[in-house]
Amino acid sequence: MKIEIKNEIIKKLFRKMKKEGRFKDVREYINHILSAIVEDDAKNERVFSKKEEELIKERLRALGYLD
Amino acid sequence: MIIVVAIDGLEYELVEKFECENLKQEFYGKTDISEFSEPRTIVLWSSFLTGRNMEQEILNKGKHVMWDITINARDSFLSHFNKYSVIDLPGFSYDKDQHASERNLLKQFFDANSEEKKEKIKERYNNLAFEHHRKIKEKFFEALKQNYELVISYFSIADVIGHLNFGNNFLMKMIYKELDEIVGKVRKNYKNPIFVLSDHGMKKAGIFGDHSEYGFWSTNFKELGIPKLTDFANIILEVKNENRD
Repeated sequence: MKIEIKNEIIKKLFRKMKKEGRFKDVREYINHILSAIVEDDAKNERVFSKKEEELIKERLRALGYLD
Repeated sequence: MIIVVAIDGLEYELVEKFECENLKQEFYGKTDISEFSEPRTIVLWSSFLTGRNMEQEILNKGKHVMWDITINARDSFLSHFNKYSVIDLPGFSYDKDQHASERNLLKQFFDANSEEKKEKIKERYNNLAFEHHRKIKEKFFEALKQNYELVISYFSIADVIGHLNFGNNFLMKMIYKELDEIVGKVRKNYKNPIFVLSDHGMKKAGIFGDHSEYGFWSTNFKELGIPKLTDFANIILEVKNENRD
């Protein structure tokens, strides 16, 4: 898959990559960033407890969003 | 032209954390909403418009009609302007069907009895909010091209998405960067007085988002300290008078 990335973003990524010093090129750096995002997203998608759900429902009722 | 970017649920701490320099403009801080018993969106934006605490008046009407309230322009600071555009603001030009659909999906989410169903509803809820955001953004930039004395545009995305996704740092950052970009475009193209204002902020409640007990303000022209949300009616009128040619 080919994805076009703006030159200004590539330049910024290149500068950041140089600072980090552990990636051989921008391609590897971009793949590392995207993997981190996907993993982070998966962590955020964790199942919530019934207690958490009841607490937020109570708050949303108080704020007028739920009956 | 005075420009007000009204952002529901914009959280001061996240503006700092995500380094949203455009949202901060030159001067920024928290607003004081401690005069309200709860940070209810409809109450807060209606109070912003009238310059007085509308809480009791609105609650007395009953919570089922609360979201349908429309403030008469005569009772608000808008009456001092000849030509204005107010886009989607709760209590005035709110898209009632859109926001009722969002609240309906929120209800469906909590009523759903399986994780799978909840995920599907959340996807519809998020898509509905983003689709609406794109429409509002378009209307806002169109209004800025017209000859208005005042443009107020209300963006609900941070609040709506935040309620079900506040624990998703990546998604919230994306929304804050989008809002920062909108204000950045305004700052670049319009050298007018610009206000960025929220009704309240947002705090974590597990993976969900609850309203926090202060709002956010910023301007490109004046330090305001810790203003009350109800002070902005007079602040905007002062700016209007100062900029009168």
